Amino acid sequence: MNRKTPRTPPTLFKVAWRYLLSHPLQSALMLLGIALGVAVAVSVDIANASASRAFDLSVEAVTGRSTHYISAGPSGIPEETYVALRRAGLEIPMAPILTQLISSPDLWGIPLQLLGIDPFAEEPFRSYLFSDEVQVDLQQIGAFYSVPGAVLISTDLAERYGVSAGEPIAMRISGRSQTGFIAGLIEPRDSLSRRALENLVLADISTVQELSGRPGVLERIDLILPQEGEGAAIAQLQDLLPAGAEILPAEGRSQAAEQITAAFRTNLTALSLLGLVVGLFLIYNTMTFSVVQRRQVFGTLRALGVTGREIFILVLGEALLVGLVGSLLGLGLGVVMGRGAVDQVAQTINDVFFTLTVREVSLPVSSLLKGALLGLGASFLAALVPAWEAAKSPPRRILSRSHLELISAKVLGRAAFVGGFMALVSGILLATVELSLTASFAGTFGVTIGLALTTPWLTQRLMPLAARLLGRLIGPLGRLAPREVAASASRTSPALAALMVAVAVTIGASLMIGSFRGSVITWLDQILSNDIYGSVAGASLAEPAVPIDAEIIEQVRNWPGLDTLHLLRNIEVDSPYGPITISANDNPNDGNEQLYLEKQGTGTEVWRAVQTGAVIISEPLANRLGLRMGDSISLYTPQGEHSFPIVGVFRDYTSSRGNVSMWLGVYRQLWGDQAVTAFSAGVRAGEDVDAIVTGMRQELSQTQFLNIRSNAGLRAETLEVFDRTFLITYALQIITTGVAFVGVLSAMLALQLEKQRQMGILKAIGLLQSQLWALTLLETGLIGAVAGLLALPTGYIVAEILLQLINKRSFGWSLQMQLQAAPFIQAVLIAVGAALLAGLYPAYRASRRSAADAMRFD
Amino acid sequence: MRCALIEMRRPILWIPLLLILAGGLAAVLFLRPAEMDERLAAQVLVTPAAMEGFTRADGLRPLSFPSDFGPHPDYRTEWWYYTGNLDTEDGRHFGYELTFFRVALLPPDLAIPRENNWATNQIFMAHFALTDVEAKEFHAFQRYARGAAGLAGAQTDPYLVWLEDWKVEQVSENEFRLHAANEGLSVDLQLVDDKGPVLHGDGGYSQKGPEAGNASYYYSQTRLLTDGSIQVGDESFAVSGLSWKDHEYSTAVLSAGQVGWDWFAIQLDDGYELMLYQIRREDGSADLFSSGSLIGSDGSTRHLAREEFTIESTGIWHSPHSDADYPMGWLINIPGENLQLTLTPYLVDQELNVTTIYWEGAVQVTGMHDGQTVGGSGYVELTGYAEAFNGDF
Repeated sequence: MNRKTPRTPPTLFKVAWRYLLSHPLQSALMLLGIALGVAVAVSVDIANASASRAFDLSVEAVTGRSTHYISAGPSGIPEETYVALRRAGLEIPMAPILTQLISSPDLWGIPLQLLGIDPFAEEPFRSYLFSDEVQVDLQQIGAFYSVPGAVLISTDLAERYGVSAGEPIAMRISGRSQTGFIAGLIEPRDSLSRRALENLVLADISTVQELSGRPGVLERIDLILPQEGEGAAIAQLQDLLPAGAEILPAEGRSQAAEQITAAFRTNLTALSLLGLVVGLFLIYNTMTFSVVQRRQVFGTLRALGVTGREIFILVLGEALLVGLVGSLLGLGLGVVMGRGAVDQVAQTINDVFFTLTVREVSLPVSSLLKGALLGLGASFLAALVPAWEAAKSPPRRILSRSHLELISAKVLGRAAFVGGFMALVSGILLATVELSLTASFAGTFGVTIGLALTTPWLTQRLMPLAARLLGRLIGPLGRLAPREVAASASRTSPALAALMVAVAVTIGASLMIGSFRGSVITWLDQILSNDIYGSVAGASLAEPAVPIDAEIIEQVRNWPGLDTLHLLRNIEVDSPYGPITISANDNPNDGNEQLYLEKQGTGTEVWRAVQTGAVIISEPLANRLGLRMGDSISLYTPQGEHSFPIVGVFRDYTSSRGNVSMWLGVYRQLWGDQAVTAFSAGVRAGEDVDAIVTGMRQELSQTQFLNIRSNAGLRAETLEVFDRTFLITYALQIITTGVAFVGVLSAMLALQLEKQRQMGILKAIGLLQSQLWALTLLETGLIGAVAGLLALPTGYIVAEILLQLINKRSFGWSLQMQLQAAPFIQAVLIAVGAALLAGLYPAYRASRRSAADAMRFD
Repeated sequence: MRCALIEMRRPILWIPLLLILAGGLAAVLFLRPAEMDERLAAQVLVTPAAMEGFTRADGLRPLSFPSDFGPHPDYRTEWWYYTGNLDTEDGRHFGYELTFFRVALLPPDLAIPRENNWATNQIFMAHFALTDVEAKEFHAFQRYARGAAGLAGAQTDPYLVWLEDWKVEQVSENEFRLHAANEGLSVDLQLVDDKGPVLHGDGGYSQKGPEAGNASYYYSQTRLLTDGSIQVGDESFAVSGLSWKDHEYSTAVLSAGQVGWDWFAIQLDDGYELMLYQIRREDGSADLFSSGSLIGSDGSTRHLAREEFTIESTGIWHSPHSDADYPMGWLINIPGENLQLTLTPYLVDQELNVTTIYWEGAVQVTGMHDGQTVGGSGYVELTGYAEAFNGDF
């Protein structure tokens, strides 16, 4: 006797291999399920990583190695401050910076960052400007300093857009057309420099001051302060700074910006993991079925002396093989899908958060590794139970089919209990404890999966009811189908659960988006009280507001047919909490045109307080900074830090960073800034709004490109951006449903294969081909209907969690649930439709077989 | 012409430097030669060979002071050059160098008038070096800035040349204040001009080479009585001694074939000053234009032609930084003046490892003048040893 540890004989694996090969459709479905799940996770991960990387590069390109920077708010720092610091001999590396977003028709009109620098001050800061190959051309350098409009771009950029040094380049800056020329090309030193220089246009400070119309002004002064003696250096600098100039850590700026999109990216990741969860059910489903289908094989093997352990390894090995191949497929698919997702994510970030000027798709190895591990891990986990079941059953009993169903029935009850408990605990945690965003998502998963686990058990409870109902409606077939569904729980439950999860999430997301959209519409109706809106056409939607020429404002003021004109100054200012957006307007009625969450007194009273120096803040800001009505908020003004009492918190969906709304007169007094970034005008009764809008568009855009929109136009545009933002959500939802569909299909197929003999008998006792079709479709339809029905409450719960918890935690705004019938109806239709579709092929196969043939199967 | 070459010493050294500095992005932005559109070419293209548009040093122009202390922006290059040997009361010796270079990027008629404060046609570079003989330490620093926005520049009335906080400013008619500081080292000096400007060449005009217009305007203040303080880390030293100032501006100077340069500026304690230089050609020979000048205690200047003096090097120093071999220690003999001098570096390692590597250091001088023992100090500049300076123009 061989006393050594028994080794699984290689021939045994042939059993597995043969099985997979001889059931190509089933293997393919299994692969597809894993591949889709992995692909979704990988693509979203790639999109997130690319966005994050792009963001880092944007920041690195502009921030460089600075540790701190000096800022004096929106009006900038007088250049004399910089010169005075330089002449004080502080020996602190410092670099003057002036940036401007531009777009160029010669460079495809994409947003570009025009970075104004003093090259002599740059070396310690922005490494990408430096090349090891020193080949300086005197003339071009001369041009860089002395010729107006001289800019430098990277050789890559020049190549990509087919422009070359010496050529003039058209630029759009703050809505104005300007002409510059390419004084030279920068050859990036390495790939890091190459990416940092993507979509970056370099120019001398003088050039940027001229092009952006900000003579004498710097945006900030970058600093590298020593780690030791940082405090002393700050004190030294502070003595030389004018009032209103602050020394701020560079980190704060990039961190704040990083955090802005963090929630957005977490949301995407969660959504992408959902695809994998659905895939997990699918793998479990398929593996279970493959075990059931081969019970005889395993029984025989056991009878031949193969140990349970070996069977366990066999089934698990099979799952891992499928998992591996599926994951590899998924990686490939994920990379392809990732490219599309990157555009979507970048577009959303540009629309909603800030202008991302780097758009390269990065393909991090970590994303691929994560994807592969997820796929393998999921396959392994999903196969554990079936493998264990296959292994532990004694040879004699494994041969009997009824045994498995019996266990299944017991397991269903247990699963339902565990699931229900899990959902309950997750729900209670979500409702009572302040969880982090990731934990909240974990809780959401807990609720969803928990409820999914109860689905099969509930289905079994529901089926007798369905049998009675359908029996009355369509006779024996109507009774037969539900009983079949209930009886074949071992195969149908995972598919059912998967479908339920997918559909529930569809309902949840649709309800959330619908409610969100509804909230935005209500809010738009409230705040868009004027007829015409105008602002400068920026390089991208998230571009910081650009001032409108004073002459244009004068023109609007004298425009015939208008009876009111309100001005708005939107600007990002520094504060102890980081950059904060101010909206200052001169609409005396604005106090009554807001949706308040809380306010001191009536809208009119609130606004009276605002006119004398108080502010109201938006909900996301209140949540982010933990501020409430009655508190006060500090902002840096040119005169130093200033504290504003908060007299109200209003709803606002313009920014997840939030903003502070104040009276224009107060802003102008404190910041000494007369600029206007937007106007709204009311049209006298009887005048044609559209005609005025058209007239303004023609007349006002002579010197500066303005976006002039009617009330309706602005509304439509806002909603368009809103919809664009959720495009990727829809895409992920569809894929998740796709995974579920594959699950139902494979389950149905398995079920029909399993029941060939039964079908034969039914055929033999006189069932017509059409009746067999009906029976099959009835069964799958039932599964779909049950999944859909059970998804209704689950979806509702998911929507509530998304609205009340996830959104608030992610973006700071709370949303009101607005129940609509459409998402529910849609969901049931999707579920039934998917199930019916999945039943078509099995039904076709079942009806084609002759009775004798089918019966011989067993 | 004999005088012609005096002016060449610094141009030869500095043109490569200035070229790079002119880069601004100096070692920095790598720019590919552009294909220029013709319209822009007129504005932008000034080939180094063609100096058209810049004012040329092409004849006698009487220098007048104080107006010529200031900048001459229509000439392509210009520098203000201060060196000095200083002692504490108990004899601790220091040498210092503070130099400001200016280069114009475009000729005046091609420069586009712009109102912007930062827009500029002038770039400045400065070097600050300190030799601490007792500590056997030598420190050198380099800075760049544009000649605009107040970051760097030069002005006439009152005379001021500066780059950030490094500066030399006029305090009264013959009195100047010099300040430079970097990394815990600083010099704060009061300079009093004892002799007034000494014009080199023909009344300050000196032909540089055979080509017409290859010349510069050049004068020195050879005896600046110096008092002040030097700070080294936490230690402050009251010092006094002598400084030397050169000021020169030109547009085109160099001829091809010259690789480097040995230059000597010596202040003797009998009231004389001596300047000599020797250009080395590519083939190793001394250029014909090597020459010098001797300034008497009464301020009179005598030109020294190539054949009127000999310079003999007494040793070699191998630089561990650049691997260059410099001559080190010299015997100077001017038979016509009955002057024999021995020059010994206060410190051998006075090599400036800046954009362009060169050796510029304080030296101790002993010797005989007219049969009398004479002592003194001076500065020696050695260029083209670490890398050849091929005169591109």
